[in-house]
Amino acid sequence: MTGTPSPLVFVVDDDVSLREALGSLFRSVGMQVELFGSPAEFLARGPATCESCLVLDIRLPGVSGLDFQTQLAKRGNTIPIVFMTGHGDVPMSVRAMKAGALDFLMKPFRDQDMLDAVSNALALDRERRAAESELSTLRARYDSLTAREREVIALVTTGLMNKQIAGQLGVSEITVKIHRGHLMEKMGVRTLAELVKIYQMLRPERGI
Amino acid sequence: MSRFSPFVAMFIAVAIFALDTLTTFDMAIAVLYVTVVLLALSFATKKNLLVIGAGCMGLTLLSFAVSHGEDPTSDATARCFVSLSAIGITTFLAYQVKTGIAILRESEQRYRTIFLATGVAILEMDFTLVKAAVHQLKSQGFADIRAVAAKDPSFASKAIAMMKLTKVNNTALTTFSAKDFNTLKAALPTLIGEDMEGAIWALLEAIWDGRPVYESETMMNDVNGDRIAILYNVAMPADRPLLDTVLVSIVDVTARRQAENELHAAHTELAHVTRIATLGELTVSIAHEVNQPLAAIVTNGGAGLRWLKRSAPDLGEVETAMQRMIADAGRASEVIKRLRTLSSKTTPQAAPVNLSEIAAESIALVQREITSHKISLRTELARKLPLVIGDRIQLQQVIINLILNAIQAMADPAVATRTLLIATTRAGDAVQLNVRDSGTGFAATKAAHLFDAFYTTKADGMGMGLSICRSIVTAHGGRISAHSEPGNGASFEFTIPLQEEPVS
Repeated sequence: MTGTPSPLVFVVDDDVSLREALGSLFRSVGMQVELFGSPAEFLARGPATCESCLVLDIRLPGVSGLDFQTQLAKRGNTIPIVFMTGHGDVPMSVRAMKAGALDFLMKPFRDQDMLDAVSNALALDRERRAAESELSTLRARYDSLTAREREVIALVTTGLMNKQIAGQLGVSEITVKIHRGHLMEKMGVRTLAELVKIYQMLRPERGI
Repeated sequence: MSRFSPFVAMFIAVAIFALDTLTTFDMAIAVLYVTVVLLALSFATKKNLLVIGAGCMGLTLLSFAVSHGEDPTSDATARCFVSLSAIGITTFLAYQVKTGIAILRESEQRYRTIFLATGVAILEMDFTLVKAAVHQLKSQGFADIRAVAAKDPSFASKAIAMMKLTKVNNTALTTFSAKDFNTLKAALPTLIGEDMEGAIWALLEAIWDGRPVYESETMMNDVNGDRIAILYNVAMPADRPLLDTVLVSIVDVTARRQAENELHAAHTELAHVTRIATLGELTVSIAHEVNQPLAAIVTNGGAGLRWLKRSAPDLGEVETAMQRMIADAGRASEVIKRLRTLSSKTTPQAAPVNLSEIAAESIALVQREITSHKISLRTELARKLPLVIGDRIQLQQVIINLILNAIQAMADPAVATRTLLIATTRAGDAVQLNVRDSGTGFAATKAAHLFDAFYTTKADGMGMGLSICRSIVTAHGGRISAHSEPGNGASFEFTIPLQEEPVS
């Protein structure tokens, strides 16, 4: 989205050997890689601006992979996580899945499985980024509406007729029609159905 | 002879009396009574000996009275006096001899009683031929028995053939399960197994050096071919330099040895079982430990292949991947080697070991456990620690046990700071290992029981860990102890003395 062509994979594992092996694997298929020995190092790096995902060992010194997952969620970091687990980590894996882990791979894993999991994670991140970017466009368009137009849009999307809106706002039906025409144009929609859909997407953004 | 000797003596006495009384030789015929006294020595008691002596003197006087009663010449009187003196002195000497014989017989009897009735097996042997052979070798210029062994290794078995059994007691027969003396004598060469060769050479050396006693312990066969463990003592009295009477006393310690071996085996078994149990506790972290390099190998392999298959293969990356694979395979095999050593079921071996090295190996095995419990580890392992004699695996077991205990002591969420110190030092004429944790600690009253078997403060503990630790350390001649200030952590340390053979 931001013009960087290849996606970025973050690897957090305290085992330098596995970390570097993963690095080599991802680079071999043309991905960018950044390797971290601990969650703290990863956090210090700051969030990625491009399509990315995180490959995380479920057992880490200091903080467990699960706790780290929670920490990221609290910070609003929605980066998709692929967990790596060892033997006997089934209960942890279940927890991770419940907490929204995208995938987890039991060590030792097939390289193809890892690449597939990462591809899925990256695809998810791409979708999220696309959705976010669409939303931000819509937000910008909404922000360009006048106060009156915002009043009109709120009433139009509840299914009221122009005449009813005019009554409620105390203006003429013609005026409502003009506002409606302007806001449809500003929001980049042609039909009422589209407007309703967009308005629904924006609603959580507006904190309603 | 003895049955007739009283009659013979009486006949002689009568004959002497007749000669003395009826003939008129100018000689002291009565002196011949001493033969009667000497004969009496073989059958008369001490008291009767005196009676017989007195009788002979009486007969002499009687004879003198009959022959020279009225007018004794001075010659005859002198002859009579000489005879009386001779008889008197002989009787006195005979009496003395008799007393000596009685004492001797009593001591002989006592010896026989001891010989026969003692619980010790006694073999009376004749080593005359062995002694002669040794003597001959000496005269041939051999410096010592080692030189003989080097020149003629078969001399030991030749020497065995030269040892003759002359007498045995009943205990000896029982010990060797022999029916009688002849059975034992015939079986003698088969009783000495090949493993006794060293003992035979040592015995030969004792004979060579003229030492009066040789003692040792060995395994022998009995007549049925069963193995028996014996302690034996070969007495070669200095007053029998030809070694014609050598006493070999043997105590059968088979049962005791067997019991000791069984105890030892049980102990080894228990140590092994607890070691396996310890490994069981470590399963997860060990699996991780092996899995980690395996995952790296597989990943490196996959990455390497992909670098190769690219339209422009990157051989540099392939090389790096392969090098990493080799290093990781080495890492995995190290872990497995450590595990196999620890889980192996070998009998304890005594070898020179470095306690710091063992500590480092032990830490490697539980490293994962330490980090996953969020414990910060500090090690102070002395670099130049003198070697001690010990069993590597058992010492590892002790250290791992102490570390795991420390980890568990800090598992309580209430423990704020979790630090573990593992240190080795030289402490006087011993080396010392110390494991200190910052856990919950224990009350001073518990310190005394910590090392008791089946004493545990853990819900799922068996209470064997520290008990095994103590028995291992004790077997190494060392000491183990624990100190704690409740709430302030605990400290366990053990010492292994320098240059001391373990009892194990």
